[in-house]
This record gives sequence, structure tokens and C-alpha cells, in this order.
Amino acid sequence: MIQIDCPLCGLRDEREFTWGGEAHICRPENPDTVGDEEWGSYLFMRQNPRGNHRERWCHSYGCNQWFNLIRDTVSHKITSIYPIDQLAPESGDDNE
Amino acid sequence: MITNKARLDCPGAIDRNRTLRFTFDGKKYCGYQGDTLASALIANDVNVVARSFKLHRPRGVLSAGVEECNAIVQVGEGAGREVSARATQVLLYDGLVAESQNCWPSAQFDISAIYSLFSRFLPAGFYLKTFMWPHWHWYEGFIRRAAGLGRVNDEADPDYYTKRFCNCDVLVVGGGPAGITAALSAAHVGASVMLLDDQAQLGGTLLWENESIDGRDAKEWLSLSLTHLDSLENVQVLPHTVAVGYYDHNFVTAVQTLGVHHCAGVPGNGPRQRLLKIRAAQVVLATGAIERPMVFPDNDRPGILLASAVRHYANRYAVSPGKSVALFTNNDFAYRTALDLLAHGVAVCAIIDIRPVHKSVMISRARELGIRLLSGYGVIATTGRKRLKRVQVAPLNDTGTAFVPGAHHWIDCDTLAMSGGWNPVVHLYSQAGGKLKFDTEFASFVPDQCEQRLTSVGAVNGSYTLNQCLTEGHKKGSAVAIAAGFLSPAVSPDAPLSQDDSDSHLQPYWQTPAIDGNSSADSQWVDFLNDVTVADINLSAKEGFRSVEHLKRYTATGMAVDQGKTSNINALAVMGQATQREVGQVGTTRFRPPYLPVTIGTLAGSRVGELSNRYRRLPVVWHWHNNGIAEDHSGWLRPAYYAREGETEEQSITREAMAARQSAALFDSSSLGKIEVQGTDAAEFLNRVYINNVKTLQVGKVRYGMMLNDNGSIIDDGVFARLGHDHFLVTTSSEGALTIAAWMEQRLQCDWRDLEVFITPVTAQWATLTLSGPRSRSVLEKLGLGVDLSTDHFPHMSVASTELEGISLRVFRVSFTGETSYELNIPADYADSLWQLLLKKGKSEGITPLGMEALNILRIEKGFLEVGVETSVETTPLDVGWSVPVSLKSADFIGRRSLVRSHNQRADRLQLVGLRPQDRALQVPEGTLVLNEQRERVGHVTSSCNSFSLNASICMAMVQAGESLIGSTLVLAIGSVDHPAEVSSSAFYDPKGDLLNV
Ligand SMILES: [Zn+2]
Repeated sequence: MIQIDCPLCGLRDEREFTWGGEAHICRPENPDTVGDEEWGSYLFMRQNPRGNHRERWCHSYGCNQWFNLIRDTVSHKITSIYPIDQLAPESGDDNE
Repeated sequence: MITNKARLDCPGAIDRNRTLRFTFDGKKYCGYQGDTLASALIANDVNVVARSFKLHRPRGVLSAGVEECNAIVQVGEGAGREVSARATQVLLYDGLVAESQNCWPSAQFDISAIYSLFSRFLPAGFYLKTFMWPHWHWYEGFIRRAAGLGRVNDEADPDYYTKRFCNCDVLVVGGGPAGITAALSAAHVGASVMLLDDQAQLGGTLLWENESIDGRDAKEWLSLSLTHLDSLENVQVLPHTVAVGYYDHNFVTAVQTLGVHHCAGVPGNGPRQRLLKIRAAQVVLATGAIERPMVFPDNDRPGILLASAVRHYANRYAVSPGKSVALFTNNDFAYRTALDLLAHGVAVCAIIDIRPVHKSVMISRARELGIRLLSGYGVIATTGRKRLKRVQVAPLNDTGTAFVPGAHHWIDCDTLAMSGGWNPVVHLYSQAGGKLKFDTEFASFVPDQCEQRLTSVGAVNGSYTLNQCLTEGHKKGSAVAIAAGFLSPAVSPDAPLSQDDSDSHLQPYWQTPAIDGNSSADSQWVDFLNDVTVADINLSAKEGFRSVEHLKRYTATGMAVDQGKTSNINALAVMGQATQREVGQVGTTRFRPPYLPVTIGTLAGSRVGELSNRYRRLPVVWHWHNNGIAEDHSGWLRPAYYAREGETEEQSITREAMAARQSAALFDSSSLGKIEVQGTDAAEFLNRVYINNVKTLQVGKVRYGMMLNDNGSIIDDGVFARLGHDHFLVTTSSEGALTIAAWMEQRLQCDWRDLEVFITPVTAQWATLTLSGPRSRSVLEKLGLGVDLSTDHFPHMSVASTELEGISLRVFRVSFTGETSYELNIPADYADSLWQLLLKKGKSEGITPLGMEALNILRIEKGFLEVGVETSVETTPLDVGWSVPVSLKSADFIGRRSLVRSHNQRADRLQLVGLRPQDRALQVPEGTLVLNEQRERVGHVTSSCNSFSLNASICMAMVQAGESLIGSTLVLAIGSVDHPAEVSSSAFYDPKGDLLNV
């Protein structure tokens, strides 16, 4: 069970949070105009990196606010926590 | 006067004034306060305490600690009986009853021991190779009887358990010399410290080794240190607490046993165990090391013990496992056993040392004492069926790889103390994600590096001398406290010092070479618990297994109760030799929690009985005083039906359903999810999440809607009502009450931040009581709500807000039964009063409380789908007859794009249809397979009932291309009988819905 530093509430146990999957997945602006492949990749294709992963979390049993963070999927080290509507900080670039 | 034949004269740490009686395998014995079951059995000369798992070979006590893999017993009787306890860890108490496991009728005389005669027919992987489908049933009975460790206790656990969350700056795991000094020095810096030890008494090896610290007896130092720790406010010392799991971000779970001589289920004893969930800024592992057995022919006989265990028993419990002890070793540490035994007056007949003659302090001392020293010798055979009688020794050649031919001879002895070096207890380190490295000096795996804030001290680190333990503990204890944010103190006490700085001079000896050209690999035991021999490991290597993970699963080595605490490294080394690799290259398996077996009750804690699954409760309590039969429906306790004297369950359900069709019924639908959606963009927001058009809905009107995920699958359905221009009430299924509100909130916070919308889940705030049936309007009119309820003014799919005696009330004309229905939303506290008022007012109209069962019949008659029952994670609205609203809507909504993906447009998709069995009385189980004429599977029944209104058996089913099959006949396969059924629309009753508009 990891600990997450909620930007509003402070350091809390993982059990208070909900994981929301990879962050920065963009839904095509005009779904009707995109092909099956592009739509399928929006729906299903994820990076699943070994290393830094940008992901969404919600402090469900606390302030109920969503935010983004960067977590190393091997060590679970969280290197950055940033607002839901911001891009990932440079330092947290994943291993692409 | 008790007879403990093997008891020594030395005092030990037992209290001879307190005699304890106990029973083992039906025989009565006595021991003393301070004994473990194992030490008491040894004191009473009980040699065979168990049988091995596979071959039922007689086994005696091997160790004196948690690593015990032979003396596995069942303790207690009746409901309190505990299986797979290690006799070395069971503290003796008066009246203790224990029996051996895995044998019948007793460990002394076990019928299944005949297996050991056939051992060569039961090689590694035998089970995997032989007992496979389709022939498993030939063997199953035989295997089930023969295998298995103990009988599972099937009575309810009479004890109770608790949990506790803890936080500390420094968590020290292990209360031996290294752990105690680490705790002392971390506490001195000011950190809050928790010190755990798995034993009832702290001290580790200090409790049984003869050593000195700071010039005095180490036991004296121990007692002073513990007193000091007790006096410190920032230190919690937790004996009898074993850390079993090390998880991410320094989260450690530990099991604390409360009450030392705990008798199960005795009232007033308090909880039996407590699960501690500890979050520590820094962790110090001082978990020690476990001695390694030597691997030689017939090394599993009773009377062959670990060398450290022999001196542990002698020094602490004043028992000697034998009268004439030989020692077999590859290192200097083990010589202590010989020296200590001699001091207690026990005969040491020989030290068999695989190493060539060399000079060391220990060897000189052994020589001075006149012990017979066989340097460069190995043990090549042993005899004695239920007790060791003799060992055969032979000189090794210079390289230690073969025996000198013809030079072997026998030595008479009743005990062989063996030592193959030490295995650091790296389990927690490995669980924490730490990497291990192979330490060639001691031939064992030690901690290397770990991402977590964790350090190791003492023997677990490969620091085996007392002096190293004390120095490391002292140094690292303060270092981690400083790392946890505390300032280095101006003055620090000196580290405690010990004289012990002896060297090990270990020479690895992983198995015994062939003797006169004959391999004895099939009698050299590596894993005693699972009966794995060197030959088994060689065989798996021959069959191509190289990975340790595979080796473990194929041979079962390191599995079950002891998790390979004694066998792991030997098995790896033998594997390495069989595949021409160094031990370090073979690597270890990743250790997993728990370190020791944990009682399920401890993990459950207080979540048992009523608390195991806490139901949500309806605000109306009238049900439970009026024969409402409670059932669990999606986490809510709801009345299934209301029983009446003289009625069967089926009759009650039919009576209730008839009332809804013929007069009036009252149903408690408070579990229905309710979400308020408000804000200037509320309509826009809902328009994006429903497949239906929301923007055209007028204030005061209600519409049925479906929500999809972006994959096009239905995630929930319900109605949405427009209470005001910017104010909607959304209802969801009972299951969706929490998840849909959270899902909406996520859309707003993450995806559509520009929308001005507020989501408020109000399921618990508003109760929902549903009046349904042709007489329901008459009943409702009697409340005098001031709302014109006539169909002209208040037609189907309308909503009105009003008051009843000053209490807010919302009236929805919607229907889940197909009859004229009104859903009344009232603040939950008033639900019970309103319920009773409606029953009173409706009496003359024949109002009848309606349970879940009858409601289900009514909705199946109407063919109304239930999300999660008719639908799966793949079902789209097109599959259930909702293509029209989708095609009419021009705006985008979640899931829309996916509906036109080719897969979702396939002609053979499962579609919702009705099925009418030709046998009108047929009872169709839900899930029944639907077959076509060729008896190919084409679908399944999702809901079914025997409808009294239609006098027919009816089913809702998902059938491939179902809509195109309407009018044809399919087959329901129930048991071995095929029943023909006609495919129809799922709207069986009042298909046009005329009754809704009456
Ligand atoms: Zn928060």
C-alpha cells in the first residue's frame, strides 16, 4: 500500500484513493470523423511503461479531487504531483 | 515427581517449581514452565514427532525456532484446534493437548510409512505427471487421504481478532542483540521506535548462547537493556509480534499474539491476535539467520538436529537431545555446540568436519578438551529407524569432491548436530523489493540494495559475530533516526562490546559425493517438509528446468508451512551444481508474504459474522416487523417477499404480484441511486452522458435513459427528471448509486472542466416508495398532496414537487411494473411514517406490500431489462432494442462513436428477445443455454419467471441475431432434456404500454 501526498489534504494511505489510469489520454475532438483504428487506439492503447507513469488519482475518501502524478511502476516512487489540467513536468518524462 | 529423562542438571531458563502436564498423541507427559512443546518432548525422550508429507518417513525435532519443518503438530481440541503449528513455537501450558500431523494412527506407528518403500516411484513432479485429467478421479481418493497437512478445523473459530494502524519513525524488526542496540540508539536520537520480536521473550541468540557483553554476562546486559527500553516513552517493545509482510512505501504488517499461554475461546482472554499495520519512516531489519542443514545420506532421521538447536535446547531448556552427540560441520561456529555440551556433561563422541586440518581458535579449544576431531571427513550413511544409532564417516580427498575409497568406519551416537553455515532471514528484505547478493565468504544470500527506506543489521546482513551485531545495530540505529529527520545528538553512548570475534572459516558443502562410485542422491534430503532429495533436483535439471521458480513448483521444494526456511539455499546450490552454475547465478525465488503462516481470523479481524459484509439498510423498518424476508440485493438488505401464515413462498410472491396488476402495491425502492445534477450546464452535461436527448426535456418531465462507456457498452440506466431549467434528478440502478456519481464527477473534473455543473449523490437522503397498480392513483389522492394526479394533468413520465405536512415530497409518475405507478421521494427520516400512512390510506383499495421477487416477475412480464442481468460488459443499446433514440440524436455522447464500430454492427451479436417455452409450467433456471435446431449454442436465458398474469413460463434471453429469429423455435437445454420455446419480443405483457397511460 503506497502513500500519496494529496495536494489538498497531505500524505494519506492509498486506501483513500482511486486510481484513474493513464493521464493525458485525449478523446478525439470529433469522434464521428476518426477511423476505427484511431478510435480503437484512444480506447485501448496504453503505454504501460516499466518506469515512470503519468496517471490520474482521485482522493475519493477525502477531498474527492482528481489530480495527476508520476509514479515509477517498479519502485512506486512518486516523483511529481500536479493538477489535472496541466501537462506533465519535464522531469517526469517517461521512458519512451 | 516427573521423569524428564533428557533433562540436564544446569538451571536453564525453565522454572522447575512449576510442572505442566500435557498430552501428545494420546500419551501423558510433563514439562516445566518455560518449555516449548518441542523442548518438553525432547525432555521426555519422544523421538518421532511427525511424519514427512509425501513418504511418511519418521521425523524428529530439527530446530528450536520458527524454521522448524519436521515437528509440525496440531494443538488444542475442538473448535480451538490449530493445525500446522510448529512444536518449537508452541509454549507449553498446563493441559496442552497436541497430536502429530500427517500420520495415522500416530507418528510412532504410521500405516502410510509403506510409501517410503516406494520412494523411487514417487520422484519429483510425480503428481504433476500422473494425476492429470482425465484420470485424476482414479487417484483423487488415494491422494486426498494420504496427503495433506492435518485436518482443517471446520468449527467456527471461538477466538476473536483485532487490527491496529501504527506509525513510527523507526521500526526495528527482530529483538536480538543487533535489533536491541539499533532500537536503543535510534531512541537516543529521539525517534519514536517500535521494536518487534517474534518470540515471547526478546533477546534472540542472547537467550541461549554463552556470551558476554561489556564484561558481564550477556543475559545481564539483555535484561538491563530491556529495562532501559521499557523506561523510554518513545519506544514500544512488542514481543510475540512477527512481521509477516513488507509492502510498498515502508508499510509493514505484523501479527501480535496477545496472551502468552493462550487457551482458545476462554472468555475474558481478550483478542487472540492483533494485526498491526505499521507505516514507518525507516525500517531496520534485524531478522537474524537460520542454520543450514548438511546434505548427506539419510540426513532426516530423528536425532539429527541443527547444531545451534542442540545448544539452544541444552543452554536454555536444560535438555539434551541425546546422550552421545556427534557434530557434523563445515564451519567453526558450530564448534560451540560441542563445547557447550561438554560443559553440561554431555558426551561428544566426535566432530566430523569436512574441512582439511587448519588452525583456528575453535579447533584448538576442541583439541584441548580432547574431543575426537575428524578433519576432512564426511558422513556417508546413518542407521536407526526411529532414532539415530550410528553414523558412517569417510575421509574426503583433497578437493572435497570424492571420498577416499575403503577408509570408512562407523561411529556410535544417538544424536548428530549438523551445521552447514547460516541462511540470513532475508524474506522481508526481498518482499520489500530489495535485491540480494551472494556472499561467497559465508555462501549465502545477503541484502544488497533496496529502493525503500530500509537497512539491515546483524546476521541478516551476514554479520554473524556478536560484536559485529552490536556495532552495526548501534551505528545504523542512530543513522536511520537521523535520516528520519532527527538531529544528531551532541553526546552518544559507546557501542556495547563483546569478546566474540570468532571467525567462521566456512567451506561450502552442498551435497555428499558418490561413495565408491555409488550415488546416494536419492537418500540425501534437501527439503524435509516436502521430501525433496538431491536426486529430485537433479531430475528436474535433467528435464530442463533451470529457473528457480520452476524448480520450486516442480519439486515443491520451499513450499508449504516452512516456505523453505532451511532448504532454500541447499536446493539452489544443488540446482547450480546440476546445471554447472554458481549459486549466485542460480538466484533465489522472490520471497512473498507472509513470512510465517497467518491465521485467516487475524486477517479478517473484526470483520466476521454480521460485520463481514455490512449491508446498507432501507430507511423503512416496517418490513422487518411484518414478516419481510430479508435478502441481499446489491449490498442492500431488502424484503424479498412478505411471508404470511398458511402461504408458501411462491403463494406469497404471486399474491403480491397480483395486487400490483389488480389493485395497488407498495414497494420500497429506496436503494435506487439518486443524483442531483445542477448548474447552468446541467442539460449539456447530461446530454453528453445519456444516449437520449436531454436538452429537449421540459421542466416537470421525466425520460428513461441509458449511459454508456466510450466503448459503447451500457454501464447504467434509469430515469432523469427535469426539476428546473438547471436542475435534474438522475436515478441509477442500486449498483450504480455510488459508481455513477463518481464517474460523473470524474468527467467534470478531468474531461469537461469548462462545464458549470455540480453533482450531489442523494441516495441516502431521499427514500423512494413506489405505489403501483390500477388503484394506485386512488390511494395517492387520499394523501391530499395538492397535485392534480389525473392523467391529463400528470401523465406518465411527469414529476412534481410538493409537500406533505410540511415535508418535501417529490412525485414521479414512472413505472417499472407496467401499471400506473408513482414513485414518492421523501427525506429518508420520514420514509417509515409515509410507508405506514400509505398502507393505512390504501387499505380500502387492497394495498399490498410488494417484495423484490414479485417486482422481478412484474418487470420480466414487461420485458424491462436490468443492467448487469440482461446486459454484460459488451452489451450495447443496439443489442437491447434501443437503436431508435440513438439514431434520433445528432449530438455526440459518450459511447456513440463505438456503436458504429464493425464489431458492434455484426449481425450475429447477442440480442435481447423473449422466449416462451411450449411447456407453460416449465421452470427455467437463469443461465440456461439456448440452442438452435442443430443443438449449437446460440445464447442464454438472463431472467425467467412463471407468470400468473399470462399463465405462462416466460424468459428474457440474449440470443445471437435474436431479433431476426422472432417467431421461430429454439431449444432450452435444462439438464439432459431439451425444451422447445418460441422466440418473441421480450415485451410479454401489455406490449404497447396502454396501461401506463390509464
Ligand atoms: Zn485530498
